[in-house]
Amino acid sequence: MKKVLTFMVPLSGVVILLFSGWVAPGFGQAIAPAGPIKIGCLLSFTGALLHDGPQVRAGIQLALEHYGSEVAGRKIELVIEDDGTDPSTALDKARKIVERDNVRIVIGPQASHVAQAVQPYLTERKVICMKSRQFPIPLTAKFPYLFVVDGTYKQTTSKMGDYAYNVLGYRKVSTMTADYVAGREFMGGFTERFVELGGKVVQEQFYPVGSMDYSNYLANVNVKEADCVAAWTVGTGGPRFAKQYAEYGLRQKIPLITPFISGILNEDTLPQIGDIILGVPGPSSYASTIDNTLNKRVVADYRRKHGVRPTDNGVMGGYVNMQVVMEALKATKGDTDPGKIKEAILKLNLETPAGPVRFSPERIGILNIHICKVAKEGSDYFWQVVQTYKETMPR
Amino acid sequence: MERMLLNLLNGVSFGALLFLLASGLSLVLGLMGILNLAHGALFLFGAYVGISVTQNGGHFILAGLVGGAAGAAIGLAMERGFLRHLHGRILEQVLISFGFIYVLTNVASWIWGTVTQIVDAPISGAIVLGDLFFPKYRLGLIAIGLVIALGLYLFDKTRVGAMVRAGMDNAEMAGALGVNVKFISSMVFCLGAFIAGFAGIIGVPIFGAYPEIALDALNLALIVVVVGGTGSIPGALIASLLLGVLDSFGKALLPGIASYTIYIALIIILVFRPSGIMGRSA
Repeated sequence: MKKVLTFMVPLSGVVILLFSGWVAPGFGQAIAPAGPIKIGCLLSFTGALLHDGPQVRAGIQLALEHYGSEVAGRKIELVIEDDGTDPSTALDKARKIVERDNVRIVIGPQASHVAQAVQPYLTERKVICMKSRQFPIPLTAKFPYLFVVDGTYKQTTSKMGDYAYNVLGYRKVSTMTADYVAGREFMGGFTERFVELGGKVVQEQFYPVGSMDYSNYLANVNVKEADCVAAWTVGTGGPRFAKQYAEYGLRQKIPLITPFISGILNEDTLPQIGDIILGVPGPSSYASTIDNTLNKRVVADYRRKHGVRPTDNGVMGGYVNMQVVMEALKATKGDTDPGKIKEAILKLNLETPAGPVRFSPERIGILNIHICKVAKEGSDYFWQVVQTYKETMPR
Repeated sequence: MERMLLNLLNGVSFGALLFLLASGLSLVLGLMGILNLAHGALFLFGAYVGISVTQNGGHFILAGLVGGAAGAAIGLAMERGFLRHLHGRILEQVLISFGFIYVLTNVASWIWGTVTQIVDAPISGAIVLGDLFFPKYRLGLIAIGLVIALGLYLFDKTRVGAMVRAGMDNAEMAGALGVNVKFISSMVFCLGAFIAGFAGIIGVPIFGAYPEIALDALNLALIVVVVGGTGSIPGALIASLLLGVLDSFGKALLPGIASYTIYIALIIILVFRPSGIMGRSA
């Protein structure tokens, strides 16, 4: 009897381990094909992009509410992890969600350097990945299971080139932006298109990421030659930049535009800045004032839940990515095979709160870009859509 | 020409803020030999407390005083509770004060959240130099920096100031001569902490308040203290102005290395004067 017992305990242990997927990761999944589908979310709750994580999560959860948390009889479960806006943390978390939680589809990360760190691993494991926000063409091409619904940096910002040259009539621009990949790409997309159309860049300034004080750069703007200033900064710098722009008297002397209205003039910081920023234009793939039925519903539901308008991070990073995932799973009838999901996504033609969205063969979104101006109604500040460029292509 | 003047003024106003930030650190390091890395956290707390005061209707000057008091209170608690017992033990001081930075930063995030906060300067508007504008508030900063520098200079000339200097030179001797070195040390620590907290809220209209500012401020303060010479207030003043102006012109003339101009200046100055501009060689 004793001999049998000493046998049974480790044997049961091994059996349990096998079934739990610890020993053979794929094994547990193969045993239970009708189980829940786990969607991994690598979002930033700490680190440089800590404000964006909660917004993206809110968007994902709202989409799940709207779709119902089930596809083809399988429950959808979210596995949400903090990537810390840090490449090595993100890689650890990616390994955790793929190997321990059996995630087959990931939404995120958002920061480009963080995404670059996890892509080789996710691609090797054939995990479908929906990047949160933009990513450039050459990088997306390297990873065959990566989808970028929000397009490329230059795709959005080049439309400001069109708007600034054709609609606003500017010909000479002085630029200033944060000195890192995103900062240079956003500004680069705008200046390339502006110059293509015949405009001229008379001055370029770059400030270190996390600059606390823009006074030096503002003081050096070449007001004599330029007819507008194009500026971009991220997160905490936005309100400071706007205030210093007014303090240094530039507001009266030369108009301000942005190559990307998100980051520098986020809606939640607009009340802090106040009326001095009204009318400043910039492009975005999403604004709460986009006029379609689905968006009206999303804005109403989001406001009811969170008390504020949905942001572009919440919708483009969260809601629309989740839409793509749900629609793809519906098309494959709940089959999470990466090849089938990929095929399904490439065939999608979606109506989203941001307008119609589909994917190019390079797995990058073809979507509308909206030029917005900062506006207010009562004490409610928001981005007002003034012009829409339809079906923009990746560039 | 006017742009050069603007850069100069920007540099001097930044230097004034650096001085406020660094003078406390230099004083404490020189007198007590304590390297209080949590100095940046005192700056942070002063900023946040000051913001709360203004948000509740308090005048900016009151916010400055309360911010300073908050810095002094926390500083006193740190000194009495922890640093006092670690005389001469540099490694432990570094560890514990660094730990304080993390604790205080997290407490601040817990109370005030992580979103950057700014308040408007109490004086708005700018003075006009031909084509260019210079904000009045930044002029005010320069004035405040000068006032504090003058105050510290005059303090040094008083009897208490002499006791402080005696304590800096030779604590045992001073104690033997009847100077209550321990009490003086605590007082100086509090003064340094008060100035740091005050500098925190004063700097908010320009830099805002955010959790990482404890480390950013500490970084700058350390550079100033090293360049100026530890324990030297005139050194801290010269170093702050020098670094502020170099940073400003560096950003204007050499934008490619804008982030590094302060460090390059640090290296060059240390090569020629390893103890800092007015430091005393060991």
